[in-house]
Amino acid sequence: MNDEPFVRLALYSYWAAGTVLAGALLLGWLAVVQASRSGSIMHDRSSPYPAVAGTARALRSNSGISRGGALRRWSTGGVWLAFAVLSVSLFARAVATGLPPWASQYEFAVAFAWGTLGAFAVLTRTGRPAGLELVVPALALGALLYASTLPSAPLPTVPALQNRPLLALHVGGAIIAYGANAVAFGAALLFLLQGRAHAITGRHLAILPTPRALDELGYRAVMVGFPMLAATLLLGSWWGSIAWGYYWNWDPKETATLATWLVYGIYLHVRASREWGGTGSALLLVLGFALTVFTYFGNLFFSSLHSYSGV
Amino acid sequence: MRRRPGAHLDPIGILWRALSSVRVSLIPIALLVPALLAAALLPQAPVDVRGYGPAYAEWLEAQRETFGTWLPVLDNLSLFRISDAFWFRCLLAWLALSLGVLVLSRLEPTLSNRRRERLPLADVSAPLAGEHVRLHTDRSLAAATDTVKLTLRDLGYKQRHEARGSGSGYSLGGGYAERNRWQRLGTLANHLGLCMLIAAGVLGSVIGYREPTVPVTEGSVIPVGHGTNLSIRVNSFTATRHPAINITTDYVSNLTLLKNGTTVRDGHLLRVNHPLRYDGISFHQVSYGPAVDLKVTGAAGEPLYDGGVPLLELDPANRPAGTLSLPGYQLRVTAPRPNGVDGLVPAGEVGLELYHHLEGTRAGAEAPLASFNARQGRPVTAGGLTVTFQRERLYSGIGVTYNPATPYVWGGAVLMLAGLISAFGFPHRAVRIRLQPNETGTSVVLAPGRSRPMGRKAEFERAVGAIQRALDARADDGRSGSTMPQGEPVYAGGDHGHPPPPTQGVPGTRHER
Repeated sequence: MNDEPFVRLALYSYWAAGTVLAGALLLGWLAVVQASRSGSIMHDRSSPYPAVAGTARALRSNSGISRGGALRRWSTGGVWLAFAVLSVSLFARAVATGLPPWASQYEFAVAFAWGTLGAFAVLTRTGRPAGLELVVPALALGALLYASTLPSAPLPTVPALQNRPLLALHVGGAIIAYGANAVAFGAALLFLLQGRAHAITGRHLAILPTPRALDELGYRAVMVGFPMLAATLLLGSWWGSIAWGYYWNWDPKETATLATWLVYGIYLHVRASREWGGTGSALLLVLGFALTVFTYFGNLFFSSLHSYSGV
Repeated sequence: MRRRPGAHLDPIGILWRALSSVRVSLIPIALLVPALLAAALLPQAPVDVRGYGPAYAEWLEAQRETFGTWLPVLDNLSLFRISDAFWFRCLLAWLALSLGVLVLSRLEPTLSNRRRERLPLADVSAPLAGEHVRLHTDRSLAAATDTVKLTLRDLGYKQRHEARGSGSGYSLGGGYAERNRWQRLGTLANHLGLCMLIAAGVLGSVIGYREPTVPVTEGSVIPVGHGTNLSIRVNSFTATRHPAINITTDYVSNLTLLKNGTTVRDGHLLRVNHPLRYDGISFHQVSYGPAVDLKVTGAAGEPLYDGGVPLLELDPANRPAGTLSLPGYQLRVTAPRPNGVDGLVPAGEVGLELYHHLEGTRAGAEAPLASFNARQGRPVTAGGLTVTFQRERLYSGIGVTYNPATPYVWGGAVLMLAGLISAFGFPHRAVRIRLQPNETGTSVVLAPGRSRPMGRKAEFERAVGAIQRALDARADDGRSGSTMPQGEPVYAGGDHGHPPPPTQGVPGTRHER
């Protein structure tokens, strides 16, 4: 089952991706320092919602950091390179094990990082998101660091996981959803930061996108994450009905995922009706991601049918 | 809404409006979130002990060490059996009802609104309200209209246009362009699907049944019950473990299904992810575990039991344990601890405790009549019974499920997912257009559609940008396009613009598509 060269390739490319990502983050922070030294970090306009600003334009033009620097370009390139190398790692792992590369806690952690970087790349392809590239890739790096603490040797799968199509679709859907949720969380975090800056100084930080652009990005991310999480739940139910005889077992991971999905559902309704301002929506995104992380780590501290091999 | 004096109070109407309100329907969702988190964090009583008083009490007592004085509080709130809790079921019912009412109340308006939205010319003399953009071009009304039409067509919009005029020319033009006009049905579909899911789930729990794990030792025949006249016999069971690590990689039951004693399925290999389905009932390989074969005879030598005893539990010392019910007695059986030295129950023996079988109690609730070990193959007599430990075995854990509501569950799931994909992947977009000639060309006013689907702002700005670029491009007659200075169009959001002058003597309206 284990093809040794591919196992090594997966491991080496995992380490390479982590190194590249760490370097990209370092360059990104240096770019922030450079931008803040080169000019005012505060916006001239105090209005949180400029009358004319498409999301992409706002992401591109409304921050000093986008105007500069080789440092920032290298940082962005590093993030993309890390994503590509991580893709190689997952592919090699799949070849080595003969299964979708997310059948253990280690593999899922690596895939979580991959999904986060992939969602970041896709959702921000129309505009280079100043500031966000310091937050979202950091989450991916955190996932890679967590993976480094886990046993990485490929292990045989338990019988319940021996359903390749559903393993690919159910867990793959979760990875995409988690990645989109991470991007939404990053946008929400920066939104709250802008709000704090505005509350203290009356102006926003020029090195970050406008609150409106961040709000729109968070929404776009949830537009991906919410249906993918729904698909994850439904595919998991289908798998449960095949494996265990019932589509809902009140398994802790199932209920935690459902709670997470409902929080994003509340976010979508609240945002549509504008019941809460941007701050309320942003806080919901933060809560949603906190639940996402709780769900991900849940099988470590509660007994669940989702306990993976190797942990 | 204020009630007119003398108007009758309409409780049904009030309830209907409340249930169809998005704000109100968010309440059960918001309450479900902490309830689900509590269900994930707190230990939930297994399904098979919830309905059996002494078993539940015993399980609850085992939680006292963790929860201490909070135990009765949490139990009174049904937090150890949340899915069975009355308040939880009420929340689910509220949500399902709210979804259903929401769908019904919006179905007709959605179906009628998608056919038409009033064209801007209908309210030509009304002040422009809400967000709108005003562009200016030196093109004629006809040329500007064509440019706007072509641009929106290239963006994928379907359009309706009309013009008003008299004599040789037209003095006003207007249109409505939209994309994905079926999207609103997708939103309804996803809510209806979720409602169906909840309703089908509840229906299934009422009219169906489920045995999470029926332990069947090799050679045993166990009735399925529930009026099915079906029985399961496990002819053989195999569990494969990885030689180097402690992981089971496969376990398979060779199964025979009997109905009224007659074989209906023979030699079926039942493994995880490959259930056996018969007559609407499904059988699943869900688990396996240790068992022992015992032979028990009475004081007069009459056979009382000869078969397997599955060891489904762990005793306080982590030994596999099980209970055998006999006429007037219960026999508690424990096997040696796996992978460890066990001084009380060494390898090759089983521990036995004999109790009186009191109705409504489980073995261990009182002091045993006799407590002894039995070595394999050697009969032991105690309490009037003779027990022979014959061999160690495995039991196969088989899940049995009957749920006639399952097709509705999957139907609801497909509907929900299709609706979500439609709502998010193909959002409804609309642009209202008004064109009016002036001294220098044509004034083009654009406004988003009156409905407020999510994300419409960015798409509207994209359409405005495309129209502006098209108007700016050099016209075929050589004239330049827009007379606007290079830069941003005039946006007005939420304020009132100046209304165009009313058109005199409008004889009729020409419609275009």
